Amino acid sequence: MVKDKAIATRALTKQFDRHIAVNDVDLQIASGEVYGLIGPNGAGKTTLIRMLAAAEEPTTGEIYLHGERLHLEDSTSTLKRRLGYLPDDFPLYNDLTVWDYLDYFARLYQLRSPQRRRRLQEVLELVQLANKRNSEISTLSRGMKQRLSLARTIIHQPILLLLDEPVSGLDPISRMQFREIIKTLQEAGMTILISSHILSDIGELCTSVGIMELGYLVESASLQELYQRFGRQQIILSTLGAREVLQGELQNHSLVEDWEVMPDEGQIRVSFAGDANDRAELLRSLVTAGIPLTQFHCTTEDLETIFLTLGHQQAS
Amino acid sequence: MVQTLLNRLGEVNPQLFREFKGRLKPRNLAIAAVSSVLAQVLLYLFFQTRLSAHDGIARYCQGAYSCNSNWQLWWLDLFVALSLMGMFALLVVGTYLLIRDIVREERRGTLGFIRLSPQSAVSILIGKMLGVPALLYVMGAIALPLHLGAGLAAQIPLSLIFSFYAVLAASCAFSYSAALLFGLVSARLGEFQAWLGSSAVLFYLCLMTGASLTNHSVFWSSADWLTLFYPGKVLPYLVGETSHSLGSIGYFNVKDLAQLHWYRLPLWNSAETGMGFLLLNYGLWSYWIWQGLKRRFSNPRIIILSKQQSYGLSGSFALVNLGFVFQPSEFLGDIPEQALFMNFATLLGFELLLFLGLIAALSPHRQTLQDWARYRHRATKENRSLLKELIGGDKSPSTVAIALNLAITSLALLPAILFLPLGEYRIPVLFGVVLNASLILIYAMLTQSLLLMKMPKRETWAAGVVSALVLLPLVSSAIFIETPGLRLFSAGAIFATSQVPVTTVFFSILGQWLAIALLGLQMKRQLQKAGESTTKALLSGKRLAQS
Repeated sequence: MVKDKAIATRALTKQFDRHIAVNDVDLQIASGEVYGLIGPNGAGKTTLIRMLAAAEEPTTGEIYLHGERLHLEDSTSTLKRRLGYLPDDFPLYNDLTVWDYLDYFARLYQLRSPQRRRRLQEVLELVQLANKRNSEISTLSRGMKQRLSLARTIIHQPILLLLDEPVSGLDPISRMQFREIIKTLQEAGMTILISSHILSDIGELCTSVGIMELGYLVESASLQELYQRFGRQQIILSTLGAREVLQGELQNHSLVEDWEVMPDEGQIRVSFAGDANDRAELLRSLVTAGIPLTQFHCTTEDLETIFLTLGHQQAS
Repeated sequence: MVQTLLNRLGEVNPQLFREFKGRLKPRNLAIAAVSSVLAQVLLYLFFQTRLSAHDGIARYCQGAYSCNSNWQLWWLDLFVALSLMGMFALLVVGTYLLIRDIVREERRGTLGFIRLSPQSAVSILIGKMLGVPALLYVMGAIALPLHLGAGLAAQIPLSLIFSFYAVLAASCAFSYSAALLFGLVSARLGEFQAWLGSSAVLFYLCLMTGASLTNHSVFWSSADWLTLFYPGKVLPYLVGETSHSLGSIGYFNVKDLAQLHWYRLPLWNSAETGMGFLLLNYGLWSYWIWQGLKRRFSNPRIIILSKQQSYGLSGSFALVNLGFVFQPSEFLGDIPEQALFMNFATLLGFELLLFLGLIAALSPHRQTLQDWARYRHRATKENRSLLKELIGGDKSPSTVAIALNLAITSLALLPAILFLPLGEYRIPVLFGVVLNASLILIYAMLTQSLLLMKMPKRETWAAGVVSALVLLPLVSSAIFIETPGLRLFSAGAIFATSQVPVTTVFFSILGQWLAIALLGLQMKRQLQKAGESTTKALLSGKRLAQS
């Protein structure tokens, strides 16, 4: 079970004095997945990622990367080469140029010339810093520095990428650029674990999500499964009239759980428990009842609402 | 060509490549070159003026009727001055640069990325040692022709000049390794550490240079061990090879150095064995420093040395140091028993310093001890007994390991105490060893207890309390000199053992053992509480999750 996973942990716990930052976490991430780790501040995301990156020693528990046990002190160089870790702060060497900085890390990861040169060029193009190769790092903007840090993280072509809040503090354009880079890396087959407070990014990028609260991994599932299990459907309706008839129809329908009339827009939001066929059936029945519908579309509760609901359930 | 060379170097050692890239920039190189040349010119001019100065005439004049300049002596003085300048610059500035660099990297967080790379700690740290002081090396290299030229003009054999370079290189390797370890261990305290470390080196070099220049560099006791870390220790061999008598040179007398003995062996009689021993000494202590460096670089939260390593370290310390207690009878004065007693007292002083270092290196902090108290039972399930944990485990309290280290050093001293002609001082020395060991064990237990307490700045408190316990009894025993009994509880306990009745010594030993027993009980209680409270916290956490 553990061997076929890119990342697997068993009862992983980290305690600081009396505070348990990560508590008994069993995490499993399959190869090629983009796994989003979400949770409020202090939920234990950063500590968990640091332990996975071998930057923090667990109090107890085990970590396996592609089936190989990870130890802080004697991680094999093969294991280290598999990992790329981008922490939430990104210290750089301001006295080096962009090229020299990446060249240094490429050498640390034992990339030999001429392959190293090619890889540097490739990575600089990927992070859109090719035109800055000879610039001193101190002259770069925050977004560029963040992209340079990502370039440093992937220079050795790791198969596991751990990104801790990679887009925090970035402007919308830089965030978009960053998302595009992650998508490219995903297409290249990397397994990516990404923690973020920006849930729309997670929703867009990730295939699976884990929710952390008070050190616990309270939920871990594919995004699809999460929406299915926890994301209630809502149908938005608008009519030109016949409100009473509409309300009567909704009341009689077995799959309608609840509805709410939006005061400003005149729309009705219906919580609906059925699938696509059931929705079609509902639409047919409303049209047959002669309701002059002007709008009928379906939405699902977003990740933010699911996260808030699940997180609060566990915390309470 | 330089670029190609740098590239090739970078393939072998990326860290060295990074340091060179950041430091060897044209502007920096120009400043280094100009500074080195300027310093040489100034020194040269200074010695030129001494030729014509009044005292200069006295020193460099030869011939009964007219003053013919003694150029050989002049070149020798220039050579020695350049050697000393180079030594000071390399050791003091190099130490400063390395501590500052490693502290900055650690505090900025960049060292963390390097740790995550597949490079070994040895490769990274050697890159640092060779790369961070790169500009200093450039300055030294530019001064090399004048130094070599001066040495050859003073008729010093080339082989001896290169031997001096070898000793200087070994000394740099030792000091730089120690600087890196000091930086890694104390990074949280900031860049003040760089000033502290380099000031300590400066102080030591000044002290040793002063002693050597005045031909008082041999103490015929364990203190001689300290002088072995001074690279200028070999300069007398170079000076001695020139054709001047001590009268005209006046410093670095090889006859002074030849009085140094180790296990009564006159190793410093010849340059080969003398320099060889110095190199071995540097090698031995550099080896132990590197054990700590490798551990601390890989994991900044781990204790500096493993307990097993500490046993080897204290064994080597006892073996090397004891050699300087044994001195030929002609150097022991009128009362050899008393001189030997003083040698043991000095050795016990060094032992105390070693153990203060070992206590700091082996005592885990609160979090580690809490984890150990909580999860130790898992280790015992894997057939690791509590005793094995205490003797060899990285996370267990240091007390048993310190006691074992004390047993190793004390047992190493025992045959010497029994067989050396100590006469009436034999029993006082024996008591001194026991009292010293008991006191050290009390310091170790107190430190461990303080580190286990829940309070801010535990390390500072532990350092303060132990320093007070070492210093206050010493100061008060110096003030109340008529009550030697007070000294039994100080680091100078050995001096009191010959001044008070045996029963008093006996009772003070019993008192110390009682304190050890009480501290042991207190620590056991603390550890039990730490383990329990953690369990409770975990259980309450589980309940939270299940609800």
